[in-house]
Amino acid sequence: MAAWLERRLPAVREKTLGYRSIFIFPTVAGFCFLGLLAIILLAAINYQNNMLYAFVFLLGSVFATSILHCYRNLSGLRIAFKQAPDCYAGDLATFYYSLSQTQGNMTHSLTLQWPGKGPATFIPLVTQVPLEGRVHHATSRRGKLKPGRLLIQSAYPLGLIRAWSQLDLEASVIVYPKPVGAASYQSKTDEGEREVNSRQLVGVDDYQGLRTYQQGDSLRQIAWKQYAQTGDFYTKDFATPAGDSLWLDLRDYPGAPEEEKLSFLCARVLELSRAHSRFGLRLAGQEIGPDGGEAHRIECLRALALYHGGLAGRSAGGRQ
Amino acid sequence: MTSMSLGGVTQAEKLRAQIDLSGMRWVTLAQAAVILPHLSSLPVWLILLVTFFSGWRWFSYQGHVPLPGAWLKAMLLLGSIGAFFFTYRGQFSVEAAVAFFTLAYALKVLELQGQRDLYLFIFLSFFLLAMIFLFDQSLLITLYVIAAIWICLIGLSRIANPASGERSGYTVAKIMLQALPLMLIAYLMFPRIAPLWKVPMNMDQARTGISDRIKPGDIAELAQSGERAFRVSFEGEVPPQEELYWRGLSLDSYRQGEWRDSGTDLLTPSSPTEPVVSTEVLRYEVIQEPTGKPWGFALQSPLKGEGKYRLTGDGFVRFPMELRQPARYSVGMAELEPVESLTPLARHRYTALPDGENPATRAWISQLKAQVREPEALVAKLMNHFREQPFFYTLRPEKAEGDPIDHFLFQSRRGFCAHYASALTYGLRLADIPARMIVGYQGGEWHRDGGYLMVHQYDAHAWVEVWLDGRGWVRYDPTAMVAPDRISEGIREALAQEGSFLEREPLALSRYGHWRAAQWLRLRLDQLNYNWQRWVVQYDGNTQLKLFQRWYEDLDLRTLGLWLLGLLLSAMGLLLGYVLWRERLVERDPLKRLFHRFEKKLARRGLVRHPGETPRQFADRAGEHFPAIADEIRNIEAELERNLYASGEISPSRLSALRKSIRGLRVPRSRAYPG
Repeated sequence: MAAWLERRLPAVREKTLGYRSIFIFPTVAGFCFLGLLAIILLAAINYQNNMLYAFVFLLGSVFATSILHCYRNLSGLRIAFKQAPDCYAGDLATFYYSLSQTQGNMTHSLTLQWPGKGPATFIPLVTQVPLEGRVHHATSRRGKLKPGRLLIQSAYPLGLIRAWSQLDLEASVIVYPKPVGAASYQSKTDEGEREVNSRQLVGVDDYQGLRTYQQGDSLRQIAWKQYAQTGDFYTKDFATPAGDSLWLDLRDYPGAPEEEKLSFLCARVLELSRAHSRFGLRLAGQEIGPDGGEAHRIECLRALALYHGGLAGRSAGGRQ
Repeated sequence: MTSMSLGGVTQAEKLRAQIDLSGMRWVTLAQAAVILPHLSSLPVWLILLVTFFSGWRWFSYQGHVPLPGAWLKAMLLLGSIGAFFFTYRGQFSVEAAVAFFTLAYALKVLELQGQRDLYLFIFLSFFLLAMIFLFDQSLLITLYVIAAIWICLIGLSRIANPASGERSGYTVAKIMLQALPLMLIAYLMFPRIAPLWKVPMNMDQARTGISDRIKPGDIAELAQSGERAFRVSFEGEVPPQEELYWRGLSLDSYRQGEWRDSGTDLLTPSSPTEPVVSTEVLRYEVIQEPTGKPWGFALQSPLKGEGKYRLTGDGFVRFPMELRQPARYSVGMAELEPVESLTPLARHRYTALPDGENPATRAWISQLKAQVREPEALVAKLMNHFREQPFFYTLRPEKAEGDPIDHFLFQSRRGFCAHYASALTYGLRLADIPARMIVGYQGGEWHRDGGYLMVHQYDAHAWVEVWLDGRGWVRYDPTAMVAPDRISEGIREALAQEGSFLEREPLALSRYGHWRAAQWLRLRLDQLNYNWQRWVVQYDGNTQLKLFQRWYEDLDLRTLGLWLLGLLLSAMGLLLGYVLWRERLVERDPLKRLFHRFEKKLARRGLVRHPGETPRQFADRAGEHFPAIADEIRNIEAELERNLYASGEISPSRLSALRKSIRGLRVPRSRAYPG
């Protein structure tokens, strides 16, 4: 089936749905409806009741006609993958699609989903004016996640027939390792390591102010008092004096499993970036020189995500 | 209590997540539309229950009240099932089935939560809606059901497309209209095969009509109904009004003031061993409303025509089953009825009376018998008695006391047709003259524009048939002696003075026959209904075959079914083809079409344009791929691009030149890489 789909609907970045790409089949409700009609038809025959015949044939014809309406609803829908912002393993990755109708009609009640991989996105109406659709996909591991074929479906107009397409729109997202505070590592490591860790915490004393909480911020830095007052999470921001560049290295955590090491590093990268520190990253066979700023942070995180090809490419909850 | 309200709130929230307010309105409306036509056959408690549950559901959806918790729901379930069994006590009839499904429907209302429940609810609605046709197939009901289907389908579409803000009513109406041709084909061509198995058709609902047990007052009751009994269209000359005696039953047994049909054919004159060939002088077609009884109606001397019935030896129409649907049958009228003699057994049967009742009548008859010898003269004497004595034709006869015949003949002298027929039959039997009471209808109302006769329940009538040796059964109608208008004009005129005609049906249009507009409206409606009955409801296997045999003579139902299948498949194919064809034509720009052709030609040789690749890039790549035709490819692409982005339309000559050069492009089979 997958290979056949691959041949019939090869991966493209943008697709307008047509007769080659739309599949149609009755829903469970549709089959129940047909069963109901069969029962009424039996009654029509046994009671020799012409109006019952008419009843069955009217509803049967409505069923048949709704096949065409269901097809027309999806036909002409143009869908293109736009982008997917990087995320952390364990988060729901969000994919942005652009949707529009290229024909005169509109597309009603559209559902986009990777079945079993994320919640469905319901779009009530697509018109000629392009709109942005967000589809979510669960992530479990770092790396480059290719979620595979997106299920685009609609049971418009009566819910008896379902038209769908499965498109590979070359969507992908970079999944960073899940940031894990090194605290969990410290308990089982020797003193030397702790020293390395405490060294980066030098800047902790240099309190700069509050900023809104971001994913990956250390819980220890959360301003609990402000949380109690406002209900929002704030992180206490600390500055580390510039010029004091650090090196983060995979070898800082001997003994820990590799994925855990990457998670620790991820947390550290976030921590240091937040503190506006300059730092470098050394991975086996890869080195990113000391630097600061947003671009550097992303470069490091991506390096971590894609280290050793990234796990997601092999299996990250996407194409298993 | 708290857990109940908690459960209720979450349920209501669940439902609100599934269906929006306007959708819920449609679903509630659908329910009302489905229950309404069943009201007459449902017990009152069930109607109240349905209304109560729907209201509960509605207010809980709005968030005003919680739904019942599990315990209360179980109690309601048990209670209503108990009430159901108490009401119907295990009898199986169509009404009981409808009530059962209505109960399930009502209970389901309280259960509505997820999408699946909503679907099931709408499907149940369709089922209950279809069951209406078991009771009534009239034009009005059919129009009503179509409207109800529309509402149910809107409900379905709101369930399937929540929050789409769509004009579902319009869309559903469009779908129904588009479905119409397909439905008509299926309706006309679906072979009307015989029932697959015998189905229970018990209906408790009382139908008005003539019964096989009659106390003289019963017909007066019947005459209060303006319902239609049957309609007749004639082929040939229509007999005069006075001859239109529609015979239904012969009541030959008298017991305790009640005349009954003994139900045996054995006592009739022995049927001739050879079928008598008689000339048919008249043929008529009857469309009879369902009566729940197995008898039909025919004029005297009937000959069997089309339809599922048989004729008894006495010339009565009998159906194999009780009539639950309108029946259509045709009957001929023979010129002469062969006269046989009455067997002694039959003679005994038709003169039998219980002993000792009505002493005054007995005395009077034996006195007459002493004066008049001839049976015929005696009958004439009795008939004259009704005319000469102050008898009064009325729909409001006195209640009989003591011996009913004595009371009528010598005390009240007021009666409806059955009183006169009963008294005459009784008197003749006392005089040892074989006689029987016949019940049926007399006359009818002629529908000029429709060309048919309408016979109503108020035309119900009773008269007498007397056996006269050498003449056979001869009809005598004592009512004609008392109220000649009844026979020549109809009951409305006969009762004009009394004003009792249809006094219990103030809304019946028949009552206002003297008002022009009412009369016009009534006749139009009746004609519409008649044509509906005749051509749509009565469309059966025979009519169907006749219709299609016009084009193809050796047609049977099987072939017809295959035709239908073929036709449906080809219709679907055509529709599908049309949709696909339209889609192909989406690209209307001739240049773009040419470019597609150009692309395709190269693709066939293995060079596919990458998504996002511009035509220029593609042409360059193609040139590298096929160096032999690189120049041609670039030229074509350049020309295409020039025109694609040029303002205004491309000239036809240029277009055809371009087309020619694309057609002339010979792409080499093997990939030839340079070097």
